[in-house]
Amino acid sequence: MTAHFFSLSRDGDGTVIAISGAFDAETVFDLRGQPAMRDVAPGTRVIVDLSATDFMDSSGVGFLVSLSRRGQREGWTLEIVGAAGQSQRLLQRIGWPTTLAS
Amino acid sequence: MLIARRYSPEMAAARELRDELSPLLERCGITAERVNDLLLAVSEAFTNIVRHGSPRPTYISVTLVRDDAILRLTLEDDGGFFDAFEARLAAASDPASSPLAEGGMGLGLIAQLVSATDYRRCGAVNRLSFSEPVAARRLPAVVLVDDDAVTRTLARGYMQDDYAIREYDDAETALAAIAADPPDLIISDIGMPKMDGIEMRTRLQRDETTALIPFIFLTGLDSDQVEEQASALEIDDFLTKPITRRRLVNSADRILRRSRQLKEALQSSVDRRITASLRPRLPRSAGPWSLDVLEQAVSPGGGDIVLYRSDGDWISLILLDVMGHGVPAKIFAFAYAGFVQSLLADDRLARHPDALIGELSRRIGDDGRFDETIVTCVAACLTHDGQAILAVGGHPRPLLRRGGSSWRPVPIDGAMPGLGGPPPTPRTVAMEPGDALLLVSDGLGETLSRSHPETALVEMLNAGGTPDGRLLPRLDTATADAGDDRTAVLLRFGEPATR
Repeated sequence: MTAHFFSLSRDGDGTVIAISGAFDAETVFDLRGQPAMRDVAPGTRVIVDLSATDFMDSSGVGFLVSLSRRGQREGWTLEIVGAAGQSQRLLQRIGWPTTLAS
Repeated sequence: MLIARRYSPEMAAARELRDELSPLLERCGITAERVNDLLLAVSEAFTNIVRHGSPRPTYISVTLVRDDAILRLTLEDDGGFFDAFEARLAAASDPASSPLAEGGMGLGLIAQLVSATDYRRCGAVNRLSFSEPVAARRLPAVVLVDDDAVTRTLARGYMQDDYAIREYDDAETALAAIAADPPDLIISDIGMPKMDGIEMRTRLQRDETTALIPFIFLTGLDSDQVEEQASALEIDDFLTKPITRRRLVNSADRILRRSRQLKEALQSSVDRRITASLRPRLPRSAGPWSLDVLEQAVSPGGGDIVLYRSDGDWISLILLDVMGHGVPAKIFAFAYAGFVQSLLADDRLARHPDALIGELSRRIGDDGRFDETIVTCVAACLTHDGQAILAVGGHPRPLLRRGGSSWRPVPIDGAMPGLGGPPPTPRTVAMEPGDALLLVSDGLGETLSRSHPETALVEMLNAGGTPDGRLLPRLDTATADAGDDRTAVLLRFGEPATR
């Protein structure tokens, strides 16, 4: 059975979201409820680390899209790092740039 | 069938489904990338049903079947139907029409990831099927042992279209290979250096894992003495060189066909014996209650089970419908029978049907051995003073007829055992003399109407007059075309039994 969890941490001027296991509707639901996700300061970065993600679905993609759009509106930057295997293939399939700066 | 399971229509169940499907798909001869694609597609479909099914389904069942060169993954649910699904899927199949978005990308992914989809309403359920081509069906494995390369080349040429040939030029190497990976058929020469074919056959016979593998001698030693010696070793055929293609292939085909027949006959015998042991055996009466039962097992698969326990001034009974096909499913039904009978030995569980189903559900959920089975049930505890305590677990509701009024479903509900959640809520019915209850398996109502089985059954019963001893024979006649097991238990309070 795969373990699914995520962590939120600070890294310099950025917030790092590391997702382990599945990046799916369940994870997105939990992530949206995190206080740290509500207030991101302008000029900072949000880094989504997918290096331990073994599965991502359209809910995960949708969450990244929403983050990207929020970043554009609120003046902060989204970066996606560590995508490999299935998550990398999915991002490629849907035409997501390897690093998306908003 | 590789998997047949019902899942709770919740997001969390999508993970459970992926975890269970992943190893099964990996064993089907498709690439790791395709496994991931299919997992993503089924996950998107599952999530779509959970999120957007209206009305919301009470379950989503998933089956994975390998049929020759096609892998078929099917999701069934009893929620609302998605209109124009296939047209929307076709429209979404063009990546250009599915721009990056916060939602609504799932359909596009399904369209891009799955080779073929089919979505339709089948009776009361929606059925979404994904088809994936897989490697061709497995060919029967034949071990060919001969020190003569020419004979091996010839035999391989004759058989390789229909068999997977594994060749060995000496008996010792062949023995080790057979032990490591038993084939479906062994063809061996007799005269070979080091170990001859007679010795190899003798050794195979001593090992119970290889003794019953069909065996053919193919030899140039054509003498009565050799043939007599070989025949004493319980072989299936004795062929002499030179051999024709027709003779060799005919012999292999015939022997393998016979071997399959014997295995199937053995399975059938096991099935019949288990089916007989599962036949309901209810007492004709229990105090003021009369109990009549209709039972018709038509399928060789799962089965309906009726179990009971009576003690002093009450009788407790449970009707279980174990779904599935084939001997393994029947064995699961047999296992359930013992399992539930042991639960009935507990007074508290026997007297509280909701607790009985709750405990059954908990045990099924905790015990991995039942993961591949689906069971539904209805349980009742009938007291001699006329109380009927009822509970259901994913099963057709009991029907009640009071005095001269019409049959009605008892308003009661409960989740299928094994899905977690609280025990079902029981309902107590105070029975008067002349009142009757009817417990049925789903095969009965669905024979009358796939879309509205309960309504059709109630209408049929109400057209049939009083619930006397002729009710079950009438039901039997009306549902005789069922392709499923049918079981009905008629419980009448203050009425004589009719058996």
